[in-house]
Amino acid sequence: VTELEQRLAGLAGDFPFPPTPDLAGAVGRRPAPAHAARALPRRTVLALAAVVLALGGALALSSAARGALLDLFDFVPGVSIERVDELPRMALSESSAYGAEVSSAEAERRAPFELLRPESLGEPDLAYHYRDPDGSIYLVTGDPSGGDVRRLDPDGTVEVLVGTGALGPAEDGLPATEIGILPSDVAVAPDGALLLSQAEPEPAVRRVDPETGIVTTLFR
Amino acid sequence: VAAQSGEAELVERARRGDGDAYVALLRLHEAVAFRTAYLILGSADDAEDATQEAFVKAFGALGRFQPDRLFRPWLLRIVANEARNRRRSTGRRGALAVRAFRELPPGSTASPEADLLAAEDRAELVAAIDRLPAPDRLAIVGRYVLELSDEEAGAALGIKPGAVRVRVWRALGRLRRELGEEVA
Repeated sequence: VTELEQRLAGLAGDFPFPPTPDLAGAVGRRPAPAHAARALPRRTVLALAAVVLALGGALALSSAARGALLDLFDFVPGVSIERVDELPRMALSESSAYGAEVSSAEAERRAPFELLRPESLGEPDLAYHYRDPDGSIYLVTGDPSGGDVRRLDPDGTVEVLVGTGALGPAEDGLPATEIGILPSDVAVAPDGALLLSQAEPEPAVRRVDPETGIVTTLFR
Repeated sequence: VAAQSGEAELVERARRGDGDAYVALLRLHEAVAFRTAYLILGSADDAEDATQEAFVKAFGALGRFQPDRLFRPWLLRIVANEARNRRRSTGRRGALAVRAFRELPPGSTASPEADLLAAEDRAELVAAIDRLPAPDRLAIVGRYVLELSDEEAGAALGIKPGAVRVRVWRALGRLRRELGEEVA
C-alpha cells in the first residue's frame, strides 16, 4: 500500500460528502410507484394479446365455435343454420297452404255443404277453407267454446276429422274425433298425417296419425 | 450472513410488491447510492434527484433482479446510470464541496497544530481529487473512501469488475500528477 493510498484511506469516514437526504422515505411517500415485479414483460403481454386476438378472430369466424361458447356459458341455446340442397316441402298447393281465412257463410258457399253444428254453439266466428291436392276440401271452424276440422271429399262425403265442437279432454293418445279443442289451421303432411294448430285449450301444433287417428303433440 | 439473509428477505418481499420492505432495503444503501451519484454529478441537489429517480426505476425493475445476485451492485449500477444520463443531459460538472472540509473537529489529532496540518493535507487531497475527471474521481473515492467491492465499483463505473483495479491504478497515477503539480 503506497503512502497515497494510506492518505486516501484516511479520508474514509471524513470525506466532505453532503449529508444524505431521506431518499428512502421520499420514495416510500411517492404515490404507488409502478411495480414491474407483478407486471408482465412487454413481450409477454404482446404475445398474450396476439393469442387473444387470434382466438377471438377464430371464434368470430366460426359459427360452430360461437355456438359452443354460447352453450358453454348457457347464455342462449346454440342455434345452427345449415344450408340444405332441397327444402322440405308440404304436399299442398300454394294457394291453399294454410287455408284462407273466410267467413263461415263464404266457407259454406265454397264447400259447398251445409255446416252441421250444434245450434247451441251459434255461428262460428271464423272459418278456414283449404283444398288439398286430391280435391278434398278442409274446413276449420270454431269459436272460443270449441271447434272442429272437417273434410269434404270430392264424392260429397263430409267427415269430421278432429274435434267434438266443444272444449274438453284434449291430451295426446285420444282419437282425433274425441278431443275438445279450438283448431285454428290445418294442413296435410306428405305422409298423409293431418297437422293442425290449435288455440285452445293451449296453443299447440298437433298431429293426427293417418293410420290410427290418434292425436300427438308436435309443438307446444 | 444474518444481514445478507435479512436483506435477501427484504428483496423477496419487495419483489412481491411490498413497498415497506423496499423502503427498508433502500435505507441500507441510500448513503452509498447518494454518494456515488454525488461523485458523478458533483452536486448534492442533482445527486438527490438522480438517486431518488433511480430508486423508483429500480423498484419497477425488481422483477428482473436475479435473487441469487447481490442487491447493492445492482442498485449502484442503476443509480450511476441515472446520474451519468443526468450529467450528459445537463452538461454540468459540479465541483465537490471542499469548504466544509477545511476544519476538523478539535482533538482529531495529537495537537491543534497537527489538526491544522492534517486538515490542510486532507483539503489538498480532496481538491486534487476534485480536479480529476469524474470516472477517476469515482474510481478513487469508491475504492478508498466508500470502500466498494470490485463488483460494486464496476457497477458504479459501468465496467467489468476485473477492470476496476486497472482503472483505480490509472486514476492514482493522475492523482499523483495533480498532487505533484500542486506540490511543485
